[in-house]
Amino acid sequence: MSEQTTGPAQSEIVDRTRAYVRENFLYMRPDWKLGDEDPLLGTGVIDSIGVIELVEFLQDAFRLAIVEDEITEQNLGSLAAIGRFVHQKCHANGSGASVRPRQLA
Amino acid sequence: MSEAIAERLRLDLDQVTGQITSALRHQVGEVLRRSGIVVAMSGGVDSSVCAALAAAAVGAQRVLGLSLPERESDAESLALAREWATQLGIEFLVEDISGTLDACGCYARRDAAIRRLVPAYGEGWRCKLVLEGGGLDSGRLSICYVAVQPPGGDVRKVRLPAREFREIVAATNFKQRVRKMLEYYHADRLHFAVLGTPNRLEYDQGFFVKGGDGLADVKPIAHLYKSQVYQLAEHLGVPPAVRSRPPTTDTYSLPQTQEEFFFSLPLTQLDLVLQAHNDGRSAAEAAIDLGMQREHVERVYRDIERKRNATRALHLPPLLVDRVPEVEDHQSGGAG
Repeated sequence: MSEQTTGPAQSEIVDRTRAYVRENFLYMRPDWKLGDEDPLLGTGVIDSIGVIELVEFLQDAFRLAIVEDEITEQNLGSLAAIGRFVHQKCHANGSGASVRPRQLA
Repeated sequence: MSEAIAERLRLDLDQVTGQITSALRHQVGEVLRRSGIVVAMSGGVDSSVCAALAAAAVGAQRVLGLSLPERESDAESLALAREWATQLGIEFLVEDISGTLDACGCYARRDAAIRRLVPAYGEGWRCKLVLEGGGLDSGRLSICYVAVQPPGGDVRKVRLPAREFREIVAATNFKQRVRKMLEYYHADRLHFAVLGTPNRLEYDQGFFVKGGDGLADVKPIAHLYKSQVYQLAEHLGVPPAVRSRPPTTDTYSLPQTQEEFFFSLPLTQLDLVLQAHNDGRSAAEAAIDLGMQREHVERVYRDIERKRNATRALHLPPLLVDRVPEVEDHQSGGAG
């Protein structure tokens, strides 16, 4: 897929999500290694309610509507998976491509 | 269920009953040095079995059965509990906790959280939480909804944001904690111990409220799988009406099964998969035994481990900065 200059780059999605996860789920564990492909679920990083918080963050930060069928380990199981999913979704429906994502407070 | 699985789960019922009642006598009489047992009775199979075991262990005259209904409880819970307590010959008290829950703001806090999502929610409406995934064939993760029903209307579901989910659960947990407070009131006035009723599935997977139904002095069936509790129930003469009742949380105004709220698989199936997992059987072996697909068993194994991780803190005692060995020496209270 060709990169669209108006939407967030995959690397930006990964970086912002990593910052969110570190701030909200790993704030007392600064030494926790959080690689792009490391699993987020089932390893003590994000629990089932954390998944909902993560979805809320992605919806808000990248102005997306994430439906139930998209809340899967394949889409949300790692930072890299989130990067691919959000990038593809932004550019598929145009919402992310036409609107600059809001900055985190 | 295959014959091999049935065999692994089959109890020597006389032996197990003797083991539990002996342990209860030792724990209550010698370790805790209490004169009897308080058991909250919900009309379900676990508390019914526990009440029978308590009566067998220390004598019916030393057991107090409590029913602790509130305005949203199923009336059948009280009727079944009362009937079984009468058969067992134990004293049985009913304490309606609705007023205490009102004073704590249990209903008001919960309803305020729901109204942020469903502004029309109000008097006469009913609600429950529902956990939904895509089933074993789907990669969907389980997420929580609040189901609401207006008077005379249809049930509809709304996906729960984390904030509202936490507020609803926190408010609803008053129910389990107020019940426990009353159980300890009666235990203190009678010099009795409080019995907790979790089965192995609930205990292992953290399906309890810390300081609520998770709090007890003894938990005599926490090592038994649900299917084994049913074997024991039949052996102890628990009425068929109790044994055939679907396990329910009896916590929300709309009927809610345990699997709707916490376990995403039918309990009978999950019980067997948990046993296979604990037994160290590979997903491939378990799949053959259970007549399931290997991929499905792998998924349930992962879910079991996730729930264990997510609920690990519920099992922890208060954490100290340093050891207090003088107290630790008194903390072992085994079966003797």
